[in-house]
Amino acid sequence: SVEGDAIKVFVRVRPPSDRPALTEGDQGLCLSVLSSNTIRLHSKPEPKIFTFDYVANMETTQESVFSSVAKNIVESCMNGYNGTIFAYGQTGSGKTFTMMGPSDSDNFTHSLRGVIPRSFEYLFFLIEREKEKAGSGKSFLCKCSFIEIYNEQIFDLLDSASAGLFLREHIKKGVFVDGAVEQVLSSAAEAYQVLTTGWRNRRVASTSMNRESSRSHAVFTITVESMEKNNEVVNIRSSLLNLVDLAGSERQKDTHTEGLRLKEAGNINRSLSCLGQVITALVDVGNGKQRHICYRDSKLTFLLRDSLGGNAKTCIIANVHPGSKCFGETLSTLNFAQRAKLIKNKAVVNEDTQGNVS
Amino acid sequence: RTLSAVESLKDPETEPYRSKYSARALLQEVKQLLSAAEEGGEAVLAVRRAVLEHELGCVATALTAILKEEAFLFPAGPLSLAPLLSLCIRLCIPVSNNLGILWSQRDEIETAQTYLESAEALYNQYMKEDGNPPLDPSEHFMAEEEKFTDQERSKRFEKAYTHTLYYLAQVYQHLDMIEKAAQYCHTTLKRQLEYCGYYPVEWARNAATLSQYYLSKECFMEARHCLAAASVIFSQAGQVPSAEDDEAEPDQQDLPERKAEIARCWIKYCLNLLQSARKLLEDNIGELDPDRQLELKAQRKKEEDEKEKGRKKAVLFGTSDICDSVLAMEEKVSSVYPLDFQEAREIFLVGQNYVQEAKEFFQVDGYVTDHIEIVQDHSALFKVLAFFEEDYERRCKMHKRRIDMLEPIYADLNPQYYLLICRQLQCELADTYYEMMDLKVAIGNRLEKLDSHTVKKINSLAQFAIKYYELFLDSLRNPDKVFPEKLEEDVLRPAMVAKFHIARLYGKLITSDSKKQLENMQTSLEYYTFLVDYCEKYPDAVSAIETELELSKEMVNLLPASMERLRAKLSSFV
Repeated sequence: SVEGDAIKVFVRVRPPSDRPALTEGDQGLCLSVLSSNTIRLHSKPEPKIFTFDYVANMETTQESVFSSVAKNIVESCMNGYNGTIFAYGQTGSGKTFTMMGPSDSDNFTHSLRGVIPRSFEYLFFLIEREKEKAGSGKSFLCKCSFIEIYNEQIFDLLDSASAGLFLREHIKKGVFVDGAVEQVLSSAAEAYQVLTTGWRNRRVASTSMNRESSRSHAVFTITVESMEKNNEVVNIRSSLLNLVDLAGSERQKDTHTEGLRLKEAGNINRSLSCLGQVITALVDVGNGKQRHICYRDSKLTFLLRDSLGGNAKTCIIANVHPGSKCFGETLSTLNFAQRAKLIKNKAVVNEDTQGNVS
Repeated sequence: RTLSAVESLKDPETEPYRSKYSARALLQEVKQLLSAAEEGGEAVLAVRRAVLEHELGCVATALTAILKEEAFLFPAGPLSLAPLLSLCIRLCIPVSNNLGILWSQRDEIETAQTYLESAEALYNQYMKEDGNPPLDPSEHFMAEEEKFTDQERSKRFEKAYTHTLYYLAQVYQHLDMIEKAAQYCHTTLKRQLEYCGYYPVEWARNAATLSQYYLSKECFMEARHCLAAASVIFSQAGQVPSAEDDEAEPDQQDLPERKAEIARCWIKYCLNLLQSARKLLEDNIGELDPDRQLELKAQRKKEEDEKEKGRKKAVLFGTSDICDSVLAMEEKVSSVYPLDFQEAREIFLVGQNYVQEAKEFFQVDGYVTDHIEIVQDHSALFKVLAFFEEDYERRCKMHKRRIDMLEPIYADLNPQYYLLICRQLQCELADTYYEMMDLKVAIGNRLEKLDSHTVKKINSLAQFAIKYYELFLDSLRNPDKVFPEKLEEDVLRPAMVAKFHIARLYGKLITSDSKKQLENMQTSLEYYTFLVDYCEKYPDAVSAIETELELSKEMVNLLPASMERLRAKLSSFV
């Protein structure tokens, strides 16, 4: 269906805080959830209504977030599509809670576990079911990698000794992180083990190297490869599932949320640092003329190029904090989410028939 | 007062703003002392007070930016001192700069614009009336022996003004005054060169990017100047930096990549120059128009004398020795439209050299997308060169070169990750085969009788063209292999053109077997009909393919009749 190609956008509203701050009544909140796909922002002078594919209010459980957001994507991943799930929002809006679950537990049976552990379970559940159905004719291979992008540098969270990896492209494999550790997975528990190790490394790195996790993007990628033998013809399908915890939206320099602001020149720095960006913007309106722009996309957009307007099923979970103090950030998150809906994706089954082995 | 700068370096991690607050307290104290002394109304003191206000303002802005509170207003006071131009010019400019930033932070870009433009005017006025290096604000509070030399004063002053221009470039960009923004970017780059305030690699990259703006405006002389300057300055990178530069260039290890990027900007230059020339010279069926060619050549002769004048109007980069190298660089390639094959070939060869240079870095292993883009440019260079070639056989060979470079890449490319590029290549390959077939038909038409070799050639070229068009159309199918009911906007025109060309190709296939010919006509009719039906169903599509639609309608009317005739002929033989 045509509709299925657009990026799906989900909004989740977290409870204001652990303390019952509801004493202020609705005054303390800057938005209200009207239905399962509309949200009203109490902006002045007119309140603003936003419509999304799905809006989760404060009472929505982790289970139902998973089943409305991720289930579908994991299923299509089994069918050979690439899939990506992003969590977006300002720091403290509940991205990590949504994706991982409560931060203090490594226990992935926890009832509040997030989208990522649930995706693992579901993925391996589907794999087992497929295997049973197909018997020996079909086999699966799952691998995963876990990287962090901080300050336009790539770190491997599965190999804390490595630093500064590079993005490269391969004519058959697309974009990949050169030298990133790939770990083979055989069960959901193992996947979760790898994830938590990586997560811990992220925390260690953030304290020892002065990295702030709220300023870095973490990308967990699972490659699912299935091989099916059918009359001497081997059908290989492979697909990627990217689970992305984006940096806090409030500090993202590279999103175009900054409005009209001028970029300042440092006092000592001679480079008038964004002159290049200004010029790039001038060239952008180049009316269909051939041109080359010397400034590349950010690492993150390059890595996830296929997920943004490419060849994948993608959804974005925009997390918002309902407190009225967060009004500005919430508005910009909702605006971002609205824009994201306009991106269209074309999903194509990744089938590569390698004929005739005999 | 230097305390504020010193303090901010020592900020404890936990309390990054503490020093700012204490600096503020200190400044306020000094200000009070000064205010008391100011009773006499001496101008110098007024300026000193203004300097302090400015410092306070800076502290306040720093706090504002960090705390996201907008409680502080930058004092505009110093600006009222404008009559004392020589005393306070050095203050007015940074104050205006800061006010510009501040107002832009409040999304009032027009207000920012007025402040920055007034700074620009003040600078111009001052340079006209006085021109001596003005006292630096910080000197007001320095002992006599610490004061700066004229050279240092001038350097600081010009730098502040460069910042004004840099902010104005941004203001104009935000206000969509693109041409003005480009002009200010250009001037900023120029001043960076003059006052040695640049990193060679970054400067070169900016200049190369600016050239691409000029390309989009078809200002080839300016584009070439930017590129030549970019290449010259780039060659300085890694060499001994000027004495006072203790900072190393940030991205030294990327040198090969940057070099390749500048080469790519040059490729686009050659390509655009050729393509624009082609547009000037082509007649209504896209062939070289000899009358037009003569006319333009005459016109060019006339303009040659005036060219020197136009040259002086453009803003040139660099001081004498840089300028000489830039000019030498410029001489290697023309900036006027090529009007015949010889001239076009010279530009083509320059472009081709840059293709080789760019490919050295952007190899297919590791840089698939970039590599393919370069190959596509190379192919485009051949395509436009072929336009200038009068000999059909040789032209055909040029297209064959394109096929030879594109086909192997396409064969290796995985559409799972490079769907878009695959489609581009499919369309380009199809178009190239199509063009080659047309050329062969033209060559064949000159012969008395089509020999079997030419017929075979034409048919096989047509088959290849059909194959690639079909591959492209197949890529639009959904996973269940169904062709979309309604085409997305971005593929609408290419898909329609593909259908139209396939229809024509089936019409052109040569066969002596009438039954086969009938089949081909039938297929052709189906494709034409698709176009007509689609446009009837989605009238929005009509504007995208008007000419093709018209011809298709005609064919849909004509074909059945000729098929009927053919059928009649066939049955009469039986």
